[in-house]
Amino acid sequence: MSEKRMRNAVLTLLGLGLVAVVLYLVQASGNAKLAQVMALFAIWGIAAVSLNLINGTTGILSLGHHGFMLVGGYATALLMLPEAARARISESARSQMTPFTLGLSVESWMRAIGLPGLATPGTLWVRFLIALLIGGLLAMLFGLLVGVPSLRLKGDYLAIVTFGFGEIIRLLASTHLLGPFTNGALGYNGVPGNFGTSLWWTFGILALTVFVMTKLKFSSYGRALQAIREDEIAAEAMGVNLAYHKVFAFALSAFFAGVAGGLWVSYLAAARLDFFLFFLTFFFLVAISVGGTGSYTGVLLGTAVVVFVQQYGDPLEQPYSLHTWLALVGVIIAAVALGAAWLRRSRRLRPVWHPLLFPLLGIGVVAVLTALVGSHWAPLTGTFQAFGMRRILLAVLLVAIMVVRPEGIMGRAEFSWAWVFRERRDQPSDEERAQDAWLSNPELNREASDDEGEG
Amino acid sequence: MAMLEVNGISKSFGGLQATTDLSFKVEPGEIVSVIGPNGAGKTTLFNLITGVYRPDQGDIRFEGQSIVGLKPNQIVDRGIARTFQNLRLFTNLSVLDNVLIPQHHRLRSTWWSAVLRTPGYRRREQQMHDLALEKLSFFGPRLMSFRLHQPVYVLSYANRRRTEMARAMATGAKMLLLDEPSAGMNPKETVEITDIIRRMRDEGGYTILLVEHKMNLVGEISDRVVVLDYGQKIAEGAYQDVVDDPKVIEAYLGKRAQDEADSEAAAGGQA
Amino acid sequence: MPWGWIIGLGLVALVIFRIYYVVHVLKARDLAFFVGAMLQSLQLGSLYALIALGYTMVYGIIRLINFAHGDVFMVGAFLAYFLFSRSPYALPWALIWAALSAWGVMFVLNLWRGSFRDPIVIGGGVVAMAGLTYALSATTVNWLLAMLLSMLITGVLGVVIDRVAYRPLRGAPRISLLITAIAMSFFLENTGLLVFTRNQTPFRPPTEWTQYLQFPVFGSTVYTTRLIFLIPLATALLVVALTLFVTRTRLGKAMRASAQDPETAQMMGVNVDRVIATTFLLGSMLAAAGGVLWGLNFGSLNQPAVMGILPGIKAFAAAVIGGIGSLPGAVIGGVLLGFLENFVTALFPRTQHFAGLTEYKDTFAFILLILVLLLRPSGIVGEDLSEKV
Repeated sequence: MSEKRMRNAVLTLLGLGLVAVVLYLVQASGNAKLAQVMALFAIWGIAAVSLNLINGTTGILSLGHHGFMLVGGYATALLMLPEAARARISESARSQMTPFTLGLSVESWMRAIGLPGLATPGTLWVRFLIALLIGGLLAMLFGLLVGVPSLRLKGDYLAIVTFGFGEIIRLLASTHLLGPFTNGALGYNGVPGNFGTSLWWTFGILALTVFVMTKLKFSSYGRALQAIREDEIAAEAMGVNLAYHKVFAFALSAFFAGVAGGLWVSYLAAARLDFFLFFLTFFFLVAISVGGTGSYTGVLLGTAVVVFVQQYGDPLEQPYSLHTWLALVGVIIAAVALGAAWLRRSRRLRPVWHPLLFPLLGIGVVAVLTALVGSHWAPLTGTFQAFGMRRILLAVLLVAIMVVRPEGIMGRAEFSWAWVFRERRDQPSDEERAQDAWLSNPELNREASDDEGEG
Repeated sequence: MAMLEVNGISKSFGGLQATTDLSFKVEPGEIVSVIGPNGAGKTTLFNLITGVYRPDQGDIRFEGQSIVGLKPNQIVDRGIARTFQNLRLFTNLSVLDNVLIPQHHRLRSTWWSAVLRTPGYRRREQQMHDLALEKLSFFGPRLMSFRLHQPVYVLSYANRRRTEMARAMATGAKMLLLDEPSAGMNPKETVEITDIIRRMRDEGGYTILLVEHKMNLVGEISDRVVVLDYGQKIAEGAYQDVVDDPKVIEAYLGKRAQDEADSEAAAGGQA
Repeated sequence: MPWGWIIGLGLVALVIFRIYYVVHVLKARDLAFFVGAMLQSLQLGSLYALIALGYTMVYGIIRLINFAHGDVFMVGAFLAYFLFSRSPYALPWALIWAALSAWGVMFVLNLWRGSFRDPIVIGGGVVAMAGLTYALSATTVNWLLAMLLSMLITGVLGVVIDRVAYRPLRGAPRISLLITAIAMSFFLENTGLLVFTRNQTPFRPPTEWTQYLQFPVFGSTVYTTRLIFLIPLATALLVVALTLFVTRTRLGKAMRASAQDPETAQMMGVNVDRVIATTFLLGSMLAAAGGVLWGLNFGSLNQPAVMGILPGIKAFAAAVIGGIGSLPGAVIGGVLLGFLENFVTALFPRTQHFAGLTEYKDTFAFILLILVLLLRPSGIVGEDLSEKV
């Protein structure tokens, strides 16, 4: 067994090495767009993976992840804001910040505790690391807070409460209560941007997050969390302390969400309330649901899909002429009709072509034909630009996945070297098969007759 | 000192009195069966003992200490584990996982040592694996080898029952509450289960409280029998005595059957 | 249970003291202001009640928090807006919308009549197609007709959403259903941005109901609009109609039965899928009405991606506070929340020492929701009231 473990460890290291080589090549190639997309993938990957701990592994639907990111992001941003930006804010008439809050910076703390060496531009990264850590811890505190209602509430209600938390945090952040810390609707500009856009920082922290989450999932704690997901009552009856584990899951998940928030503000080089809207959590939900709720590998896959659509979906949002749109709308309607028929065929529903699908198909075909024929018709001249098509596409993708394959692409399966080498522990070896046959054969073995018919 | 002492517990749900002034004891190493018609409050009793419900009145003591008001997982810590009438396995998890999870509450490692896979954690994980296999071996080689890694939903009903019982044993409890362990089993399987329960007490050292409907199983295995009806204890004692008790016959079969039994006894006495 | 009454009366007393304090001690506002605030609260509360009814009905039957309901409300408002403000449409677009809507009408009729070849289904489709094409391309539509048409189309939309996204997941775990509802909500929001507009939209149809109104009270004047009559009246009418439907018709009884126990209802011959579709239809129609009245009340509609979110969540909170699954509970909760938001904010007005509560008012709903869920999940009405849908 430990021989296999050695092999797996070596293979994993080789794999990570390969990833590092790829990152190096991307950075060296100078393709800024690609580097930016990959950094975004890593940052959102951290958030999605941490959300999967609650949603996928523990089975609690939490919709307030963007709130944790806000807390972590703003904390990191405030602590890392350079002097120039602070001066700008204090001079601005509309700023809500006080000298106290403007004085919160890791740099000044380093000086104050007598470590001026850590306050130089060369050690910016050390300070950023400290700021990330503090942001994560602060977010973790909020995670503890949100975990408490999870002890008394079930499914839907808890989801709404977590959603409410995400919204409350954002609403409060703009009020007089928290304004001095967040600078209200203005936010901050000038957050150091070289960490959030750096492939090494983002992928490094992503690797750390995935490491912690997967190691946790396959440990006794991970099993306890999955037990809560499977059957809470049975889990409690088997000694699992529900309160501790649920709050633990929220806290750990929130920590990494806070770290992701810190990287996010660095990526955007600014902190604003609008950067932490619900659509973030929605994207992570899509990533988790499409990729596979029980699987961290799947979540990364799903995040890649989401980031791809978000970053490379521009062609969908260009202005196109109206008759092109008419044709497109017609094609979509016809495709929906065809898709519905295909779904009915695969589910063995009769009649495959439900009567209502004909008019739908007809509308689609007519629309396409009209567009093709009447491209010079007066009402069809002009252009239209479809903003938000990428989000619509993601929403449709999510609904489709839920209807067709709710467990996501990868379901519960994790990537593992055992899968690559086709080593399955849950199938009998030939020797065991023979023994099983002997055990179940009533002529040969009079004791056993209740073991037939198993998968 | 009795291992489990139930003293005058009562529980009502809204207007329905599920349990009324119920008292009995279970001594260490005993196998006690709780029987009674449907709706007599047997599963409610289990739920009261395991902390799912809190008794309105009365006390429950385990090894001398009160366990009223404790949460179910705390009661498992104290040493009582249960199986469920309708099976509540973790269906999407493997057999091995199902038998490892009950050991989690005794794990002394912190979560970060688990993540980092420290030698201390690895050692404890290995111990948990060994204990899991030991408990599963109670049922022969069936659930070991490749079945260990199969998800529970592919198992046959009988194997699921066995997994559920192994799970309860893996909690490290001293006392097991088995809720209709032979439900859905044919006579041959029932005999096997009877044997296993006896072995659990003899080899495993468990004290067992049992809810059952099959009288042959109850008669075979129980040291004592407690009979419930409408939430009250109506009889207690050795199986043979309880079975002839007129109140018990009336509860199960009704008054006319009781009268017939009386007249038969009278006729037998005369003849 | 006297506690409720004690708390209620205590709160009323506190409110009266506070009003006295603000008017006579702080001298920050006059009594007319509070009368106006009360009227505003009633209006807002009615709007929340209309939306909350849809949430509570759907939850009562399929135990789903329909995240998309707030966006259905948004669609209803915008549909009405486009109907009364931008007709006539160019013919091809009018035809497409009419065709899709007629298809939707046939879809819904098919659910009740059972067969596509039914004359009512076909007739309904034809009538809808012709009528809508005409209405969209040839004439302008007044706001009331726009509201009714919008209610119809939005109702159909609600049924289609259920059929496409929720019905395939009937047996699935609740989390999957919730996620689908969230996806639906997101879809509607962004499609609304695409199809309607990306901007805040003024909502001022020509009507005498929005005319200003003033009347004297306690020595000063209250300034308001005629909407204080329309909105509560319209809400009351709709609620009464709904209640009559639910209590007096067979389908209504089927709805109540399915809410209590869908499996047994099915065994008694109730077509639960049809009942659920009806629930979505009615709930969405009410939401659309709420949307139109909302527009009239505030004079403008927020942009589609944003408009439905907060009112939706607050209406859901209202439904829970009143007692989820109960129709009277939704109305009580809605009115209560309207008062909480509007009137409590009015009780603590902005002075030179105090910034006022206005910036926090959106959080009231959430905070009250969390408190209710933690302390009294069955809501105000709780399980006591027998009238459940």
